[in-house]
Amino acid sequence: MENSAESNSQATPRKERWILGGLVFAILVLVFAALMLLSALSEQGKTTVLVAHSRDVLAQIEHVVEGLSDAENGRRGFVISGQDRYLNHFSNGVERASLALSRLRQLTVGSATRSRDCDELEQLIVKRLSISTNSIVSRQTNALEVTEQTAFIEQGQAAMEPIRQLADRLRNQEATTLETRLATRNKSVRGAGGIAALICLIGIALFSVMLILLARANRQRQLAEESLRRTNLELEERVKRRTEELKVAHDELRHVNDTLERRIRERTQQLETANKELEAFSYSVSHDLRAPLRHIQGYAEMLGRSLNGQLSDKSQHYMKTIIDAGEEMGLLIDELLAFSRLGRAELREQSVNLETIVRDVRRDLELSINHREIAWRLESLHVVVGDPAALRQVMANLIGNAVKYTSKCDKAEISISSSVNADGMVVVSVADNGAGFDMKYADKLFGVFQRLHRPDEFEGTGIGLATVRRVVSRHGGQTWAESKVGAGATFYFTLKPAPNNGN
Amino acid sequence: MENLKRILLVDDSPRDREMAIEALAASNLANGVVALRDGAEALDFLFRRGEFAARRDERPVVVLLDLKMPKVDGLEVLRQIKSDPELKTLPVVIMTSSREEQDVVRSYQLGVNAYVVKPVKFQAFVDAIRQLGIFWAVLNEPPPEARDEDGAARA
Repeated sequence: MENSAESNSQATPRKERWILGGLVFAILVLVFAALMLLSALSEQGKTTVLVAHSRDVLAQIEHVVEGLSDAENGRRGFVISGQDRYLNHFSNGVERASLALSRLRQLTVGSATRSRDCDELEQLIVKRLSISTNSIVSRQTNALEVTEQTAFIEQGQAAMEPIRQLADRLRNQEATTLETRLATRNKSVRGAGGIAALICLIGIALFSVMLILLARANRQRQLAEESLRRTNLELEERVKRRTEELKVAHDELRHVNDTLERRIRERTQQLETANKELEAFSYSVSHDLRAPLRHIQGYAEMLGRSLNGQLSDKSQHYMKTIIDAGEEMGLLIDELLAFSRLGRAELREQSVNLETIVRDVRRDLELSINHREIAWRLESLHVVVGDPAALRQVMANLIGNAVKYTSKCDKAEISISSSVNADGMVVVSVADNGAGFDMKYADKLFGVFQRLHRPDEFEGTGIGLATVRRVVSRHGGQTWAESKVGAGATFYFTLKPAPNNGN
Repeated sequence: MENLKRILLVDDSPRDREMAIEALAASNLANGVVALRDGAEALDFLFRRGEFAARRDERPVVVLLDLKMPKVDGLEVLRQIKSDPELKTLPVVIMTSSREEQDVVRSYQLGVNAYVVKPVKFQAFVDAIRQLGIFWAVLNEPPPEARDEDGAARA
């Protein structure tokens, strides 16, 4: 079914054109036939008129003859009886004949021969009637004898004879004409009938063809609808399947997402735990190391005291070394403890005035400065947000370093300033013109226990800058430094500015 | 009646005890030192029970108390001392290597009289001990002790 519909639809353009052509042709034929029918009908009308005409002529001829006959009867009756009644018959007859004759003249007015025939007829009638009127007049005068009557009758009959002959002739002529005309009319009737039949046939054929085309178009439409419906169902089916696939994929994705998130949480938790453990460990270690250290120091000193005066210079030197080493260790442990405490402690968040801190730190450092000449360049510092104690540690370490590493300068210069960068953070800088460091080792600068100078150059534990970095990074800032060996160093760190600069 | 100003030293570390006694000796305060090894002994001593049930002498003028001790730790000893009606006037000085804020806070909440962190440097330690000893055993007027009918010290 589908194939024929397809082939139909494929063949349709060409076939359709043929069908269309055929239909147009049929309609043209119909129109032509209709026109032909019209002309045939009008022909038929004309011949019908002619037939009626002929019939009328024939009738009038009869009327003439009959009128004359009536007149003759009346005349005879009058001649015989002398009653006026019979005169009326006579005049009625005469009137009838003359009426018929004049009508005949009207009917034959177109034909010359016919008109002549009418004239002839008229003459003959006149002659005949004059005989009749003669006899009537005679009778009116007096009754007629039989022989006289017979003479009139014979005269009359003799005069009537050419009339009858002429009437016969005319009758025959007209009858022939009538026959021909009838034949013509019948033929044209038959022709019209044929054309009508043809028109009907063509009409029926046309109608049938249209019905067939309609039926076919309908069927094609149904097929198309059917195929459309099927395609629709197919599409819906596919859409449903696709939606399900998507749903499955989506669920999988969400599942993967959840798994990832869970793992991230777990990992973060693990890291946090590890971090805490490390902090606790480093704290407890540093804490527990102090006691034995104290003992080492204490007993070394007690030993020294108990051996007072008995020690050689070398032994004293060894003793001192033990004690100094112990002190160093104590310092390291203290700094490590402080460092790890910073990692564990909660940081406060409040407005911090750096200028106040700088002033306090300078005062605390006076002892180590020891009246050395230092040129301080202190600019007005922005107010920042942070933990005051922790930030104090930062400034103490940085300024302490600046003081320490300019200890070998003649004219030490230390500058402290602050600015605001493109991201809106406050950048604080502490610069000195002291020993400086090699930028090659810059990435070690902020490492724990990392030092870029030997202990005999400058003392220190190497934890000051690590503390600075740790505090600043817990405040959400950055730390970095620039330097040139022998030309000083500048240390930078960033902090969040206080809103409205310190309300 | 003895006028010996006793100092009770409680520390679980023998070295710390020895160093403290040395430091006190350097300040001539070593005579009245009683050195105990943990909180349980300290409490037995102070409440005159257990092995110290027969103690008749006066109570110490100050207790130098370490915090981290086994069995009964320093804070527990402190608590018991300060919640006893007769012993609560006894001066207690915590001497510990811990600078932990919560230890300080809790000690003061329990009513400690002083909190001293043992200096690592020996000289500083000696100085601290001397200062403490001189203050509590010499300068400070100790709280009077309650006595029973026959003049024996009660607590």
